[in-house]
Amino acid sequence: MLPIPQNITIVGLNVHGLLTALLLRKTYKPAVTGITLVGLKEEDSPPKAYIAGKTLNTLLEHFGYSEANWMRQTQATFKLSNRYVGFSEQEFSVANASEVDILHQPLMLELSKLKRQAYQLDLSLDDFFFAAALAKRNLSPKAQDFPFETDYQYQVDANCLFTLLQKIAAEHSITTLPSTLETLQLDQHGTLKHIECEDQILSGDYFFDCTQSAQLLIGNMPDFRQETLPEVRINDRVLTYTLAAECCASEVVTTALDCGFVLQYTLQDAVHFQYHYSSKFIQDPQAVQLLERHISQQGYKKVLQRHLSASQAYLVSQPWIHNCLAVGPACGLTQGSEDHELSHTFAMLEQFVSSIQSPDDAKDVIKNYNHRIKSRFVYAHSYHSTLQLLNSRRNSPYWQTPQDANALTPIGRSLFSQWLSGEDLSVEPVLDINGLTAWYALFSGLGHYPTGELKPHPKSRAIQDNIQDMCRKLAGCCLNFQTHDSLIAEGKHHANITAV
Amino acid sequence: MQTSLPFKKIIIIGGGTAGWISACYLAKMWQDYDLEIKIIESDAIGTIGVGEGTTPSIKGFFEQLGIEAKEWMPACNATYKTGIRFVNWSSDPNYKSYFHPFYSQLDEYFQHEFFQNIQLKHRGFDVHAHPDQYLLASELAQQRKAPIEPEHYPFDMAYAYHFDATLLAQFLKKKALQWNVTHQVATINEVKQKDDGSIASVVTESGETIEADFFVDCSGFRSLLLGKTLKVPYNSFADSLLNDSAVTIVTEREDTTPSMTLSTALSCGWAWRIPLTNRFGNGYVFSSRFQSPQDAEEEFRRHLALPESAQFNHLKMRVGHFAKGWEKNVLAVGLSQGFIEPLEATALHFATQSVVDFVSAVDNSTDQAGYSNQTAYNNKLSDRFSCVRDYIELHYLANSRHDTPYWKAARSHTPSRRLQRILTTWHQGKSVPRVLDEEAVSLQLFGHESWLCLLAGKGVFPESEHTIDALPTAMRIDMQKIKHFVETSAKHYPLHDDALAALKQS
Ligand SMILES: Cc1cc2nc3c(=O)[nH]c(=O)nc-3n(C[C@H](O)[C@H](O)[C@H](O)COP(=O)(O)OP(=O)(O)OC[C@H]3O[C@@H](n4cnc5c(N)ncnc54)[C@H](O)[C@@H]3O)c2cc1C
Repeated sequence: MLPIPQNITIVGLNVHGLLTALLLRKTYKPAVTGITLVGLKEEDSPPKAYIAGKTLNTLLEHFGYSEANWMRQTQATFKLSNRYVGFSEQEFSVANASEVDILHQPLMLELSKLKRQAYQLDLSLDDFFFAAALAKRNLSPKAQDFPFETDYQYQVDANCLFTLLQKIAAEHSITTLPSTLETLQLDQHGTLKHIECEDQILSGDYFFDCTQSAQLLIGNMPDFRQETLPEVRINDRVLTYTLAAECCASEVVTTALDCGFVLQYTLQDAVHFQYHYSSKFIQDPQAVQLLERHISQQGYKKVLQRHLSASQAYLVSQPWIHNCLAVGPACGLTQGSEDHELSHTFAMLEQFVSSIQSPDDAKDVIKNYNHRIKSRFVYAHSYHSTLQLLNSRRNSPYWQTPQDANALTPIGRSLFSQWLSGEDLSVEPVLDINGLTAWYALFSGLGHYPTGELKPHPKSRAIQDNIQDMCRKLAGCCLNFQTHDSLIAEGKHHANITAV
Repeated sequence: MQTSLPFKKIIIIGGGTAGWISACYLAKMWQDYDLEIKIIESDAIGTIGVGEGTTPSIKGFFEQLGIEAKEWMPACNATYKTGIRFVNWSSDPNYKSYFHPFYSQLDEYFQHEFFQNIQLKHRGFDVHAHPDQYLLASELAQQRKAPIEPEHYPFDMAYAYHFDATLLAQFLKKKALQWNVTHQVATINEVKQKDDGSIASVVTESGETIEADFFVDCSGFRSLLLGKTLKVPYNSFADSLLNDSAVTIVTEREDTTPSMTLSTALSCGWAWRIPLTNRFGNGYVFSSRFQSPQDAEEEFRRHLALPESAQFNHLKMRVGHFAKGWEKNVLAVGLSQGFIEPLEATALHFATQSVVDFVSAVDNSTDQAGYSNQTAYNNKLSDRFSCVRDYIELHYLANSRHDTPYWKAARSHTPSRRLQRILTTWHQGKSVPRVLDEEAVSLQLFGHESWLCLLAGKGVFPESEHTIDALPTAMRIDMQKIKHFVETSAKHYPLHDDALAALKQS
């Protein structure tokens, strides 16, 4: 059994450090557990947007910030779906789960199977996902008297979130020490005894490393090792642009561009582009040109901020060593076409808290923790690498590098072979990352259906009628939902009134 | 596939609901053929005049005829029907009543939870396994709402209607006449057969001989052609279904119109209460072996709180069916073919399905005469009768009233092998839906939910031995969530009276 934390030291004054402090504070009361956060705020923080799940709302509500309030403060909008453009002939969506989908999921499973059996069917799985239907109509996830829950996330401005979290930390007994780490001291067992920051010595029973890729604590632990995540096309650069925008979408759009892909997030009054590309295939100035052209094609003009940084995918082999835990990018970074950074952090802390409550032997608990956390990364990476490997884009040397399906991760490989053999997909999903339907959406969206001679289905007329009927139903359900724009505007309006 | 019709002239005998249903359907479906259809009805022999509750198949039937609800419903004082509430069929105070709904797509949503609690209840856990709370139609009925799917809440919802049977016959008669059906008022008192036994002609009381190459027998319980003339054997259900009589009366409407049928168990049978836009139709179906018509009338009068002067109508009925519905050149539709008893209001379902299946059998016949599917047709019909009979019979078998010899007798006969298997499966807490599928029962009118609603709604469970707290949390169903779901869903549906008014206006 592990001891209940009494003295926690967190290194890294950034969103992950603050979230760690607050999530721990939510569980451990100040009278029992002291929490100190050490670090200097990065000067000139680059623009960044995060995708956050409902757990962020739960945390902030716990500290007294309603959804509308914190969303306003962090320029946040809703996210219902991720639309993939340019990876194959058809664009496709990977939508958040909705309880509405339960009613027609059997039809989706049956038809996707028939199409894999070479039946000629006009089928787009997008039609089966209610959250995608909402997002395509630019609706919010909020409705009155609509008893089906539709899962949604938030698109959040990272810098605004930082400011808000910092304020909450100050109000809730988190000691912050604006200082930089100089050395750390381990005992003979390799346990972290204390750290030294400028002229202060900070001890602790648990240390959290939130120093991102610097990995200042975990990187110095005795058994530290780092694994690279097998990447097919290594995107080592991220170019970000923030532009002024008037209307806001309730989806993230991921567009394949030459030599990489662009993630497009929508914030209140702004739109944020992140171009992940490989410097092996494209020089930075050309990447800028390419992204700017893409941005202007979307109709955006007014650039507010831009930034270029390096990026690399990795994963530490043991996120928790002795009394030191790596949280956030210090633990690992997947080069996602979807962003799971915050959801990993929430999952790590949730897992940490439940580990502390576990009656099992400390060693086993830590081992189990490491296994679970790593599985999350591997699962997220599997999805991303499947998209990267199995798409049908071939218009640049980057996309023409050999497509070797054997390079898929074991999860990706097993699912793809199930898909090809016409079976129902089965995998232990990490639900807050991507459920099973996301894999259906992916394989189907990338067009992995038999080609050549297709068989007409004897009931094709009835099948198309069924699909049409389902689309009519989803469209009808959409009528209950408020538009995304109006909901965001309401939030702003409310904030103004409160401010007055 | 038939390119031409094997019949040139069809005579339908009987101008009750079954006769006009048959006339309309045959005229509509075979409108492109050179076919003469004539309906003959007697003014000396009346129609039965009851038959106001229906099942959802009637909706599809009207759709096939191309008749819209806004046209026929106001003309027949029709109302919407979400299902039937059964009251006092159980002596257990927790199961005083339950609702048998028509299918709603939204019920699938918590079906698993309902099934799970049924299983747990069988294992002695005191969980909520009464069907009402899981079902949307039950909530709609409770709130007197119409089961019409709104555009913004477009989930499939099956429903049926209540209507005035006499007005419906008149409405269909008008339609049939528009569709070139001819009508003759005459009483048939002789039927002539050919050497092979098939019907050659019918002779009216005035001596007119009317020939045809095909006859549809809609002569009611008389079964003039199928039973009396062709002497097709009759399978009686009287051993298992005791009721043979009914006493009926109409009463005033209430301020708002319910959207369900009420079926209340009385001392020697049960009473229906069917809402129309202008009145209620009421009837007490009972067994004359256990109660005299006078006593039944008196009990029913008290049940309805009517004065002594109230005028009741008495009917006799015969339960069972002819072994074949289509024999030689005669198709029987309606009471002349068979009748299971009015519980669950299935008679018009049989009538419409019979004529629909007949047209399809002839259209798809591989011989020129149109008879190649006759055996299959008859087998299907018999199967339908026996499946529906089993379900109706289960109502009686599963009752737990101890107050009169009637109710004890009603549950003391031996069920069919299939029904026995279903009951055993239920008592063992195993999967009834699986057995229903294996026995192909669920292909018929009553699906899984209907069977489970009946058994769970009548409280056919062992005594509870454990409280719900004895269950692991993960297995406890959040009934509040289900209640919220059902209530919130119901908000989207229109009030029954508003829906009826909108129909009238349109
Ligand atoms: C108590 C009771 C309750 C019922 N409740 C329901 C219900 O809720 N729902 C439901 O679907 N069904 C119900 N039914 C059944 C329903 O009433 C009948 O199925 C329906 O009315 C069709 O009757 P029919 O046309 O077959 O017969 P009838 O209405 O009896 O018509 C027979 C016709 O045949 C004619 N005829 C008979 N003999 C001759 C002859 N020799 N020459 C010429 N014409 C002749 C008569 O003139 C008449 O027109 C109920 C039945 C009963 C008894």
